[in-house]
Amino acid sequence: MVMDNHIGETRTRVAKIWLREDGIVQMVVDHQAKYTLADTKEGLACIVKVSKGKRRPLLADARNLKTMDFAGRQESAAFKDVMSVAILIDSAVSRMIGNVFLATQKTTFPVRLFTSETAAVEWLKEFLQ
Amino acid sequence: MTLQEKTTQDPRLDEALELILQITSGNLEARGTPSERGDEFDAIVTGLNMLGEEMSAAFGQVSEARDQLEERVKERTAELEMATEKLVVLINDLEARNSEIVLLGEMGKLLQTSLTSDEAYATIKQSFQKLFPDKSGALYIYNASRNLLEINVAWGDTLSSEEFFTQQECQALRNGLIFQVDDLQTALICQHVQQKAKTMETYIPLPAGYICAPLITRGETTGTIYLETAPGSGSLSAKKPLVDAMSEQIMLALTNLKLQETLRDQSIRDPLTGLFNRRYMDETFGREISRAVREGHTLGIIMFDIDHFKEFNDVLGHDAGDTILRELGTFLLEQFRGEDITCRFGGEEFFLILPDASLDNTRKRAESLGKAVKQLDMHHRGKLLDKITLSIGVASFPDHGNDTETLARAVDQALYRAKNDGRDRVVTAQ
Repeated sequence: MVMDNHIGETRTRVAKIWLREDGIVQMVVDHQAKYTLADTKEGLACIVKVSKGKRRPLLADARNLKTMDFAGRQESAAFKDVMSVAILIDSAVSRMIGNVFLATQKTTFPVRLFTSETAAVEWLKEFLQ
Repeated sequence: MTLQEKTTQDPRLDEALELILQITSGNLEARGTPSERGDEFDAIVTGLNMLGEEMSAAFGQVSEARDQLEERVKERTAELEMATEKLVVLINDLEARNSEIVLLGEMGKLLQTSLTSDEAYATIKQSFQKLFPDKSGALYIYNASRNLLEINVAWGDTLSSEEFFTQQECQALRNGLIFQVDDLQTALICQHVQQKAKTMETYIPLPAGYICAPLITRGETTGTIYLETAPGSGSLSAKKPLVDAMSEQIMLALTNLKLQETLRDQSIRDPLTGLFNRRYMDETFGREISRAVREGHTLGIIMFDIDHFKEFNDVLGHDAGDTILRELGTFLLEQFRGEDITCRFGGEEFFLILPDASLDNTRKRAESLGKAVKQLDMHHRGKLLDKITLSIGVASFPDHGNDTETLARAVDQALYRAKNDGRDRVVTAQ
């Protein structure tokens, strides 16, 4: 993990993660990222860390995601230290990954796909009230 | 450019179609390689890849579950087979025990209805042969002088036990308890169990194991049951209770028979002379005539009286008279054949029935009896008694009658004449 631009931002091998001022944890996946199980584990550990001991909503920006392996998807779906997850998609590939994920994995948290970051944040904020 | 336009130009369409065909035909490990473009084709390939991974994982779980199920089925099947085997063994055992109980019951009934020891011995032999078809054994009974046990009946192909032995040579008889040996190499064994010569060169090998079950009633030992198993013929270790139960029945049956035979003997024999008594003579005389008629044979009858017997009694006392009667009884039992019926008719009178003897033969035997008795030396209290003589009447069937009354009268009259004519003689009925 490497600290970056945002306050408290943490970098993993394929993403950067930080705690926003509104209490939402944000994660942005690098361009053409190939998410493996190891990357998933590193990312989840990072989310826990930036959440500072609280379960928080997560805005997962997967618009640049190229692939995510099966074990990684399973690990993500079983993650418990998160309140809700909004997945941002826009490319054909990220849409496919997001939709297949939702169709095949049973998550332990509420999850939705968004193409608009604003709409995603609005939805996540509902969990903070 | 629309998707339709793209697909007609893009060679990745064939790759995507091929990937779909691979996955749908069951190759769940088939994967496509998305390009760097990140367009719809890449999305389709990525989606297919993810679908393949999901299906492969699901199939793996199903396979694992199926393997586990098959393993459990295999384990349960093996357990069931073992349980079934045990059950079959148990059922066979129960059936065998049931059969043993039935045979034991049959033996008991047959033994109870046996009239003679020989009948009982035959039943014992048959019962052991049925219950222990591949085993050998024998029933040993004390001999008359009670110093040796001897085989009364034996069964099976080989017998490693001696034909005679003393009580001291048998552990069961020494201790009065059933004695079992399962391994002759290590256990203490009875001295009567030995390797025996079959021929000059061959030997009957020692048995693999044996049981000796003593027959003891009210503290008195009658004999013992011996049962052995040859090497390779199975163990006797589980059969001890059965042999014990059999020996108990045999012991009771033989004791009863002995008692019956003693009572019967006492009821038909004269205790002083050991000869048959008048009652027995009355029973058998008619029967012997009927048999002679049926078989077309003759029947000789001798009736005799000891001359001057009253004087012996008067001068020397009744003890001396009893001695004479006893000695004469013993002499008659020795001189006459087994089928001849020798009876003490009463007092000093005797009656002999000689089956299949002609009149001539009967007279000759009567004369030889008279002569032999005159030679007898009889002692009483260390003193030689005077010689005795006999007055003898002789008759025969059919010469002197066809029924007991006529024949008895004829021989009685002949005896009377013998006495009247001066005693010490033989007179044939007229």
